[in-house]
Amino acid sequence: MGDSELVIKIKNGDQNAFRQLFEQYQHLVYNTCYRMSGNREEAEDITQDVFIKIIHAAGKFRGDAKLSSWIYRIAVNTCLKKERRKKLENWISLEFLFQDEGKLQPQSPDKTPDQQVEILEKEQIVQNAIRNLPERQKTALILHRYENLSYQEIAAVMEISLSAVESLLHRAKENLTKKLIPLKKYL
Amino acid sequence: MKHKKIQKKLLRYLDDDLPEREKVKVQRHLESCQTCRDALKTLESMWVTERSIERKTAPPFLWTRISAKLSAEAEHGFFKGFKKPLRLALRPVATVMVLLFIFFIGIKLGNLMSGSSRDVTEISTERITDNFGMSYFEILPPGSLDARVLALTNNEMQK
Repeated sequence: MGDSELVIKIKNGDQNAFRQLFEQYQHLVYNTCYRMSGNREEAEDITQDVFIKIIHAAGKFRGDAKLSSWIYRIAVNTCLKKERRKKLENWISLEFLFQDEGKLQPQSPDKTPDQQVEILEKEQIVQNAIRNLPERQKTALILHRYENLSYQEIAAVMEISLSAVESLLHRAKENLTKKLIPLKKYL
Repeated sequence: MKHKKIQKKLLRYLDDDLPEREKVKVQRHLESCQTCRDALKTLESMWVTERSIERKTAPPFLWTRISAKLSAEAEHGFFKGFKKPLRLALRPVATVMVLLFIFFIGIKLGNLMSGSSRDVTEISTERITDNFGMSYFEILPPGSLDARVLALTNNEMQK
């Protein structure tokens, strides 16, 4: 079934079509949300919201872009919206003064505990650095690095030009370098 | 090329993302600079390791949660089409009503404080005439003291 056909069926209330779309894109959406938020629980909540939005917004999909680009766009925008709201709530409640970054679980069971800790530390360092980038640089970098999207695909998702994508990625990497090199002492 | 300029480009160098000319410049600098080589090693150990970590996968119960939420929405489906537009329409109406309410409360309080239940316009006119001493030009009740004084004054002036 083609993308447009699938979306039309979803718009008409076809549950099976929606299930098919979910099965096809759930990991893509979850991975993106996880990279943007850095937190498993939040990623689950946001992924849920994204699929609810997809079903409500099915009528707005024009079919002139790839379905995956449209889904990525909804995922990214939902993540950014949630992050902005969270920052505002934290600021109002002064929680930012007591925030703990939170530890991730090791992902490589075939490694020794020491290796796992080392990998975990590096993962956290890099991911924290990426999450602290300006929004647009972070978005472009996550889509490029973790979702392996091409510059054209990123441009379609973010609705910007190709040169803007290049510029965002270059600046993101420069900013990351400035953050990561001084952290050598913590490894 | 200075260290900072080179180090800014190291991530792009690692990703093989530099134009050929710049890549060659960075390579030449690295050959002769231990500081930048160390920086490159640090970045490589973090950047490359982190990318090799497995892709995250969605938890298995996600579909159940989404279905449950959609079922709950469908139960309240009659209101679904009205909720948001109704909320959006009511907001300015509610704001205007609150402002009007405050305005009228203010007027009522003002009336109460002046001790009179007369019309605002009537009170204002009376205050203006008193303030500017125009009460003397009003028609005075016949037989009143003021009327007799005015009559005497007029007589004197006519003489």
